[in-house]
Amino acid sequence: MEAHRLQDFTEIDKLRLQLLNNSKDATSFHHLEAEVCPSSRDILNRIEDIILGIVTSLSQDEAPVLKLPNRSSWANISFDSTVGLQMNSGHSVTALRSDSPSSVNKFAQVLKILSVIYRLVQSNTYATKRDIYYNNTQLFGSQATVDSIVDDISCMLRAPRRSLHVLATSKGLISGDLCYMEEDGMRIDCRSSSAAVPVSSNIAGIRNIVSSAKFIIIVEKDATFQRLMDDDFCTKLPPCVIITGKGVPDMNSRLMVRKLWDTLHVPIFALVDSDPHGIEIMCIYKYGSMAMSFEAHSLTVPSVMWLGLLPSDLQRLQVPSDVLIPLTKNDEKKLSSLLQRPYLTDQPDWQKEMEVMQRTKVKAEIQSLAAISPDFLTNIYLPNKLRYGGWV
Amino acid sequence: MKDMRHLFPEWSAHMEAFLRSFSLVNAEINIHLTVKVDQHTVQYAFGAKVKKKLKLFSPVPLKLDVTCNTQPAIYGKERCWCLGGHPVCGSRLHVSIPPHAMDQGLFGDLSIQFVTLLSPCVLQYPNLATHISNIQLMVFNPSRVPVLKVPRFFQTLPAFLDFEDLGVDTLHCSSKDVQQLCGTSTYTSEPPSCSGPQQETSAVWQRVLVFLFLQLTDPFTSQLTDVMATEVLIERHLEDILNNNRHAMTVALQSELRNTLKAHNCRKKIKEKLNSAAEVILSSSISIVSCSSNLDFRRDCLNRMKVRDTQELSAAFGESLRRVTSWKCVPRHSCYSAKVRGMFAYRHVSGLVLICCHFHFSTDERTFRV
Repeated sequence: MEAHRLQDFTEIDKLRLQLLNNSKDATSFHHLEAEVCPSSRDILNRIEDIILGIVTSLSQDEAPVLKLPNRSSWANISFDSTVGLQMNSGHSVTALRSDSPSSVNKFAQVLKILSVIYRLVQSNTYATKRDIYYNNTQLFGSQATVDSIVDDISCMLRAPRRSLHVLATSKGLISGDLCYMEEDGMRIDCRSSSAAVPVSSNIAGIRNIVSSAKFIIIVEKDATFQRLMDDDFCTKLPPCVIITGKGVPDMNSRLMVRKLWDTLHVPIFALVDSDPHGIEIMCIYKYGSMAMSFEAHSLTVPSVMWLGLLPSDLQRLQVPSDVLIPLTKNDEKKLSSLLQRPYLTDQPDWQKEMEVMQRTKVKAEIQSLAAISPDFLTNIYLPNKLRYGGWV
Repeated sequence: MKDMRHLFPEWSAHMEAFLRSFSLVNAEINIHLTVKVDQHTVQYAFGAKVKKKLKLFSPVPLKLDVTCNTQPAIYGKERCWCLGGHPVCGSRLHVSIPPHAMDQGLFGDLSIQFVTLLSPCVLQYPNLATHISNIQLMVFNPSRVPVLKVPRFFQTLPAFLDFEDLGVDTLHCSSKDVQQLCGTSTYTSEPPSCSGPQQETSAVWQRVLVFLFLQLTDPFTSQLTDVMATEVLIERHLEDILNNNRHAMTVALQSELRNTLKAHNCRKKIKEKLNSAAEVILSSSISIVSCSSNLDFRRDCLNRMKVRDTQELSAAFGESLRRVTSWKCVPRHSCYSAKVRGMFAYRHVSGLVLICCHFHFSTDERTFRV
């Protein structure tokens, strides 16, 4: 029975072989990992260079200026099909002047966080972004400010955030055929069918990953993830892992997906709502985001496939029209924007699906499949999709 | 220049104030005064280096002397400094003529045109802190001659102005502080209290000049003699006119001062922001230097700031940061810029350049022969 069940999913095995043939040598991933991960001494030196620059400016009677790479300009981004969106080497910068009222606050905030990071790295201790914010709420004003500046510093120092000894609380969940060990020696078993495991906040410290999963499914929403958990999805099908970032994924969720790809080299599918927002979230996992393009090598998984809910599925499955939602003006704007992204030219099948959405002018959540039957998603839709290669 | 004021103590101050005030609003006229007292001859000149033309309601444009001779507080190096001012044409307030003034023959449409000037100009230094040293009100009759007798109205005016609203909460005004000299009322302020290391040592003292130009439109007055007679009437009844329009005058002056001091208040906010951020920049940078185990880095920092240890580094860093941010220069085409080099660090001289003049006068006629 087990063998028969596994035979039904030969398409997934074929895909896996195809992906292994297409991807570069596995060691190159680890080599890149080492390249982008500077040592503690490197981090301290880079911070000291910045301070020395400030002191030098003052000694020359000039106002110090901090130059932050501009992470919000498409002009600084280029697309590589093997990596995704990455920051150009000759990117433009934003100058923070210490003598300008409009930028002096941010200048001070950056210096403050640099001093915190310096101490953390020097003492080999860790703090979360939340700790940094609550240590000086008056200076920072909001958590979002701290989050943004930590990413700016990560880009400026050319070091991943984990090298700065700044942690972030993960919001993602993971479940399925997966066991691993955390850096502190705790063994994590994701095979429980009743409770999902929070994604680790120290992905780099994970070791001894053990899994016989044939594929991984990235689930956009927590509601869909819980539905799969409730329906024991991971035990009904061949061994698999499901993971959700609960919407726009945080860095740890993305790092976890990347780590699973690097370790297991199994197909990774995305299960998102059939709407522009869901497609954008899927693109973040696959190609990365503009804001984090400087760390694309460790965050993207260009091999992610779009499993569902495809716009063409809505027509093919004759999903009842009363659960379909008309696209808003913002949806149409976002859809047009997505179609112009550089990575879409590499994905003609995705383009076709998005053009179907543009033409029909409707969107639908995954939950709309329940209108066909309550267990349609886990008992029919997903198994058939996986069995017959219904991904693009 | 020999000081002859001791010979004519009563009139000298009034005469110099009069000629100075006259020269301010008639910048197209150069005044040369020669005074002979016994065997001593003294010559004076009143003229404008920097002039600004303003179009008022009157058909004759106003030419103001906006020259500013205030030495800025400059540290060491040569900097651009604006040697003039930028007067702002304010509102025109129509005032009513009291009945008994009309009985005496004063008719027509009487108004007061406000023109304000903040001096010295620091527009090229947007981060520089400023303090208001005094506010001067100068009244001119329709011929742009300074009104000789200052109305008592201006003595009591400070009690009706809301200085907190103007953002000059250190301006202390009482009747004894109101100096009245030949058409000019001056309200002086107390210097700000110094509080610890935060005291602003590179601030510039500014004064606010408010010109009040009386203007009368009367279609039945065209002959020169009539005009002169009317102006005498205006001066004679000025106190009553102002009292008759007290509320409107107070509101108008409050509004003019508020507009003029907007820039000053913005600077205060900017200064607070820069100072607050500077503290964080200083503490964060020094923290990194202090706990660094990289001797080369520490030595480079100390050497560049020419100090011996991190304590001196902290003081030098802080002072340097405050100085470079305060003296950020943004050149403006509209300013009358010249290169100036300061002589002392953080020392400044403010105030008018007073010109002393002494002359022979005839007391029986009450006219001045110059």
